[in-house]
Amino acid sequence: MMITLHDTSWAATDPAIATAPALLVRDLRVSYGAQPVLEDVTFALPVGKLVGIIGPNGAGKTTLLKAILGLVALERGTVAVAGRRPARRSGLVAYVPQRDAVNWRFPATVADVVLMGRYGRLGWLRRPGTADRAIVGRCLEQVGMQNHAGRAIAELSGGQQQRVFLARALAQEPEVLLLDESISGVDAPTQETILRILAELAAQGKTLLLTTHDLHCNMEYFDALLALNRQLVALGPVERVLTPDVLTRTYGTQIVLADGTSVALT
Amino acid sequence: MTCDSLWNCLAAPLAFGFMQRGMLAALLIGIVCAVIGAFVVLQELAFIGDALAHASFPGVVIAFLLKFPLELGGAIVGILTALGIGVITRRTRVSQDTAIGVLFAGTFALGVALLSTVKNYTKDLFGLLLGDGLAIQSRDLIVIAVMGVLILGIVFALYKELVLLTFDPVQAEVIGLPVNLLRELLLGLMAVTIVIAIQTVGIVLVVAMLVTPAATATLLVRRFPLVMLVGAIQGVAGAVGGLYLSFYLNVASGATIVLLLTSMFVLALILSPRPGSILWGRHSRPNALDTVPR
Repeated sequence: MMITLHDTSWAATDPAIATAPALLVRDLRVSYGAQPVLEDVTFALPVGKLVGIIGPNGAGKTTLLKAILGLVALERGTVAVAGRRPARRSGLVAYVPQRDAVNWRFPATVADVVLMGRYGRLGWLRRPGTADRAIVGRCLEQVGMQNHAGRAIAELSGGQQQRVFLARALAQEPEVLLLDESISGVDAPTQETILRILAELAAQGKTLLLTTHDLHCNMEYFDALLALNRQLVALGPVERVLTPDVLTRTYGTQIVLADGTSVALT
Repeated sequence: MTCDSLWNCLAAPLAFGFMQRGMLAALLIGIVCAVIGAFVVLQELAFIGDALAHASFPGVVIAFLLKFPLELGGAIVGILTALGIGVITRRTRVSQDTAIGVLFAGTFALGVALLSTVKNYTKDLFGLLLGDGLAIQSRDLIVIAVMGVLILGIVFALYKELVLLTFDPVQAEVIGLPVNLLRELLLGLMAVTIVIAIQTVGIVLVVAMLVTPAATATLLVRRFPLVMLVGAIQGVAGAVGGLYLSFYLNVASGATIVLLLTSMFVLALILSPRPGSILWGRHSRPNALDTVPR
């Protein structure tokens, strides 16, 4: 059961979440210098959900992901994954970054990159073994890239690169996956493919957070949307969040709903 | 000096002790420089490498004045300069590129100034600045070998951590690696590599030993372990070949080594069948529409 709009006290409404939500964020506050980038963000997510994070540029979407990962300092608040505070090396949370964050000229094949997803589990001084390579093979199959295992990553298209990063995140065997703009800058068929894969992963029990600035993507795949503009504006089913009221409070402009599912910003 | 057969040409110089030692040093240095050089090229550390090499000059002069081992002086000032660059970059508005530029020239000028006050500098200055691979003593060989094994050992032990740091530093942080510490460690390994390589090609040219073999390898192969392997082969070929050429042509050895390495790079640029080479023209990436799967 998803929370209703404006109701951020999840634990009270869903006993399954009260025991051990997949992801629990409480009173999160992050500032760069004097200006807060995230304020009073509180929410909980159960296992097996694909949640989209929407909001304008500068809303703090990427910062929220980095705060959950521990990549930025929290001024206030806590993050818990599966009931535990995620230590850096816990491997519980995997990150699929924006594509420009990586050195694509690096000489590596698809399989090399996905194998890097196992490094966190291996720890210092150990080398990857046959079990790790088997996991890599399975992850490549999950994203449909098993036929490209030997290709150099520099030769891949944007959508293929995205899927390789997703496979690397899966190789970590995480509970929670955080994806930053993974369906941005790719064409519609590629968006469909990626969203389909993410929905399958949610059905298998993973919890996924995907930031997107593209409101025209197929929203059917999302179990819920989280609207963010420095503060949590709303969290709930897609049709409850894509309303003029919520969108105005999130994006701050006049909204026109063209039809039930697509949105035009004026 | 002339020789008649190929075998004679290869074997004759090796009759001399200085050539034997020079060749062995070239072999060791070629391997270590290519392994560290792979990281230098892919993390774009060539400028900072050049700076560390030049920064070792005042260290050598000070060590000479205070009468302790020259390589130690060079290494210490080199490492201090690397730390200085890091401090300036982190604590001020000055970019790393600028910090490197400032300390590069400043430290080298310090070396020149100090040297100009010394009346009895008995070491070979030309050799220090531009290389004299044929003046290597047995004691130097031992230091090169020990340091080389140490460096290769550390890289082997921390291989996957260093590779991840080079490819995707954000992911390295996500899985909890001490990214800053690893970066400092890599700079330290670079500084030691530079100090031992200076003996073959000199301060001014040592950046070529770090960069050119690995750069050539990236044109020819597409996996990181092969970059190190092919780079090592080329580095050794260039260093050994350069020593032979300098022996027969009577030309400065450090320069012949670097010229040989650079020629191999140009050859790879022209002949490489990969999309990255000049003959292929503008490197175009496939667009997203090429990939609709299944």
